[in-house]
Amino acid sequence: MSIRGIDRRTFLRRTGAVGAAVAAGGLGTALEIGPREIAHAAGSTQPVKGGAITVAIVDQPVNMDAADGELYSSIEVYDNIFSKLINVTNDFKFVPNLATKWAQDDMKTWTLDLVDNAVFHNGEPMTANDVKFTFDRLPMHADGVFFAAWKRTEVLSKYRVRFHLSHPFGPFEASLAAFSEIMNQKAVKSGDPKLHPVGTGPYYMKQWVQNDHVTLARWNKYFKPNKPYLDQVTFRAIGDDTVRLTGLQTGQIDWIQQVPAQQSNSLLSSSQIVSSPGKPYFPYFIILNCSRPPFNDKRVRQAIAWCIDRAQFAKLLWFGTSVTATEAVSPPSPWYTGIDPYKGAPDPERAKALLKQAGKENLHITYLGQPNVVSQERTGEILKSQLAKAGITMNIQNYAPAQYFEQFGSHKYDLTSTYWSATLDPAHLYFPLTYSPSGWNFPGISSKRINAALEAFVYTTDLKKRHAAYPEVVRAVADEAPVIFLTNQVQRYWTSPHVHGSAPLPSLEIRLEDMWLKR
Amino acid sequence: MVTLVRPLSFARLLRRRGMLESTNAQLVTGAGILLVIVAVALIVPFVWPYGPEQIVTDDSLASPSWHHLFGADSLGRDVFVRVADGYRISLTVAVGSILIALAVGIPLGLIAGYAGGRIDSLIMRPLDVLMAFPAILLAIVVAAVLGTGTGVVLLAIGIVYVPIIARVMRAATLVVRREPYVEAALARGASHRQVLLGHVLPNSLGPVIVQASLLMGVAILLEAALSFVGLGVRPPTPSLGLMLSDGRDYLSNAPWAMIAPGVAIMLLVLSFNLIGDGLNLLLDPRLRANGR
Repeated sequence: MSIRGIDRRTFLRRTGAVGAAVAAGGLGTALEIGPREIAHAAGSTQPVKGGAITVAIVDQPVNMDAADGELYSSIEVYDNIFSKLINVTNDFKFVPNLATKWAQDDMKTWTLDLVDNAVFHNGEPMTANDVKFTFDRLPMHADGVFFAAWKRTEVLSKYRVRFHLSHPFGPFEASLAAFSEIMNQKAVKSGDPKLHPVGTGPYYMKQWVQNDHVTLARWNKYFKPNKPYLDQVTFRAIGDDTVRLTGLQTGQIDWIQQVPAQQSNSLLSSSQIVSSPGKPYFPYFIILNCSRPPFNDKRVRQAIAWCIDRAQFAKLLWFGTSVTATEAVSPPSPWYTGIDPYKGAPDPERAKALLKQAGKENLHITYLGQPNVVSQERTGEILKSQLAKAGITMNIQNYAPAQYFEQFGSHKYDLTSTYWSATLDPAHLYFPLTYSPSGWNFPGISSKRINAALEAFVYTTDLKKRHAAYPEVVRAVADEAPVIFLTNQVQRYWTSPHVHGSAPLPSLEIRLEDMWLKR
Repeated sequence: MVTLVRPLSFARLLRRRGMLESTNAQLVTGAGILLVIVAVALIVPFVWPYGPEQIVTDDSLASPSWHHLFGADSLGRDVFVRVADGYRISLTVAVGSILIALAVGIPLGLIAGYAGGRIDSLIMRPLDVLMAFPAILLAIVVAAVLGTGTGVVLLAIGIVYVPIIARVMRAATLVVRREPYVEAALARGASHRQVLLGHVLPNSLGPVIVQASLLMGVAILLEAALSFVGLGVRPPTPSLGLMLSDGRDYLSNAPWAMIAPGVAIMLLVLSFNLIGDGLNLLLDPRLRANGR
C-alpha cells in the first residue's frame, strides 16, 4: 500500500487550522436538546420550498476540487455541489445517496448500484464511468489517504461499479460517506476543477467572488425529488466570532457555525436565534514530534501526558463548550471506549519520576504556535503553566502560517496543537496520523504496537472484529503518546428562527438539501 | 582667543534661568505620569499576590473586585499585575528601540549633514527608501522575517526609526554647521572630528531629543500593534498590545480585559507625548521667543 506524502495545504484539509477557525467550538455546555431546540424541531415538520439564505462560515474557501479537499471551509461549500456515493445520518447510519445499494462481495470487493437520474451541472448524466474517473484520480490527490486500500474500480454496467481493494478495509463505507464526492471527467478536463466545481449535488455554483462570497443556486435536475428546498444560498466567510454573531442577530445572516464560546450558554436562551443540538465532533489534541529529542523517548511523552489537566482546557479554552477527551471520538460515536490510561492526571510527581528515569529532569521544550489561531496560542499558555508544575520549561514560539507549516511539515518542532475534522470512523484520524508508513505521520512516530493495532482495526471488514480491535488502538496510541487528546469540541449551528433542518452530522458537512425557510 | 558664540549644551539649557518655569505643566505632568507608571512597573509585579502569568481556573473573566482590581482575563490571570508587567515590556521596547535608532541614526545623520555631497546622498537615499515604507508595514516585515519576541520587536521598531532619527539629525546638522562658531572652530585649526563631536553634535541634539521622546509614544503603539497581530512579544508575556488583542474577544461580557490595557497604553503614550511637547518648548528657541 502506498500512502503519499502531503504538503502544508493538504494538511490544512483535515485540521482546518487557519484563521480563527478554532477560536470557538460552536457550542453549548449541554449536549442534550434544550427547550428552544425542541420547539424549533417541532415546527420543522413541514418543509417548504423557496427562499434564499446567507450562511457565514469561518474561513474563505480556497479550492473546490473535491479530491484535494483543501480547507474545511472549501468542503463546507462544495459538499453541496457534489454528491457522495453514500450519506451518513446524524445517528451514524449509512444511507443511499448516489449509490442506491451496495454490498460486499468478498473481503476485498464491493459492488455498488447507482441512481440513473443524476445529472451533472454541465448537463452530463452521471454514470459508472464518472465513479471510476473520480476514484482513478484520487490517489494523486489528498483524499487518496482515506482510501488507502483502493486498488481499482471496475465498471460493470452504466450504473453499476465494483471496487477492488488491496486489503480488507474496515473504514470503507465511512470513507465513502465522507470523501466520495463524484466528479465529472468532461468538466475536470474542460475547466480548472479548483475554480469550477461541477457535481450532481443539490446546488450548482452560480457565482464565486473570491475572498468575498460564493453563491449556490438550486439545481433543478437534482436526482432527489422535491429537494433541495432553498432557491439560493450565499456563503460568506467571517473570521471574527463576534461579527458573525452580530450578523445573525441583526438578520444579515441566517446561519452561522460558531459563536464566541463564552457567550454560548447565554445564547441558548435567546429569543433572536436558535441553536441546533450540539455534537462533539471536533477532537483537539497536542502533537509531539517523536522523531527527535526529547520526544523520541516515550517516557518524556508520557510525562507530558501525566501533566495534562483536561478539565482546565475545557473550562479556560472552550468555556465548557467542549467535552474532555482521551481518544479521537466521544459519545454518541459508536466507537467511543472511554479508555484513559492516564486516569488521575494531572500528576506532576509521576511526570517528574518519568523525566528522572529518562534523564530529562530539566526539560526545556518549545511549543509551535500561530498568532492568528487563538485557541492554539491559548493552548500554549495553559500547557506552559501545567507543565511548569512538573518542572518543565516551555517556550511558545509563534510563526506566521507559512513558516508554521514549514516547521511542522519538516519535523522542526517539539510540540504543537491542532484539531481534526474527520472522525466519522476513528481510523480517519489514527491511521493517517499515527500509522508509521503514512505520509501524514506528522508526529514522526514509529511504533510496532500502534502499527499492529491499526492494521488489526483497519484491515478487516468484520464489524465485531473492528470493535474488538479498536480499544487496543486507543491504548497503544495513549501509551506511545505521539498525540495527546485534550477535548472534543461540541459542534453546534446557530440560525435565525426561520431556518429549519440544520444539524451537525458526524461527517461535519453542512447538508443544505435538508434546510428550509419559513418566514 | 575669543569665543564668538558659546555653543548651547542640553545640560546648560536646563540650567538657564527661567527656563524650567516656562517648561510648563506639560513636561511636569508627562514626567509625573511616567514616574508613576515606572513605579507601578517596577514594584507591583514583585509585591502583588498574583503573578502576571499565574492561571487561576476559577477566576476566568472575574469582574473587578478587591481580589482582582482590574478583573481577570479569560485564563483567570489578574489584569492589574499583567498591566504592571506589560508596562515593563512597553517601556523596555520604547527605550530599547529608541536607543537603537539613536545609536545608528545620529552618526548617519551627523555625517550626512556635515559632509554633504555624495556622502550625503550615499547615506540618505537608502534611508529615504526605508522611510517610504509605512512604519507598521516595515515593522511587520522585520518581525515576520526574524520571528517573534521582545528582542525582535525592539529591533524591528529600532530599524523603523533609524531613518527618522537620521533625517532629523541631518537637518539639524545642516543648520548648525553654518553657524559662526563652527566656522571659527575650523578657522582655528580644529579637526573635523573635533568640530563634529565638540560643536555640531551637542548643538544639533535638541530636535533629535524632542523627536525621540515623541517616537517613544509611537514605539509603544507599534509594539502594541505588532503584539495585537501576533508578531510582538511571545505569550504568555503580558504585553499591553497582546492583552488588548486577547481582551477584544470578551468585550461584551468582560470589557475590563480590554479596557485596562487600552487605558494603560493611552496613559503611557500620553506621558511621552507631554514630555516631548515640553522638551520641544524647552529646546526650540522660536517657541520660547513666542512665549509659548
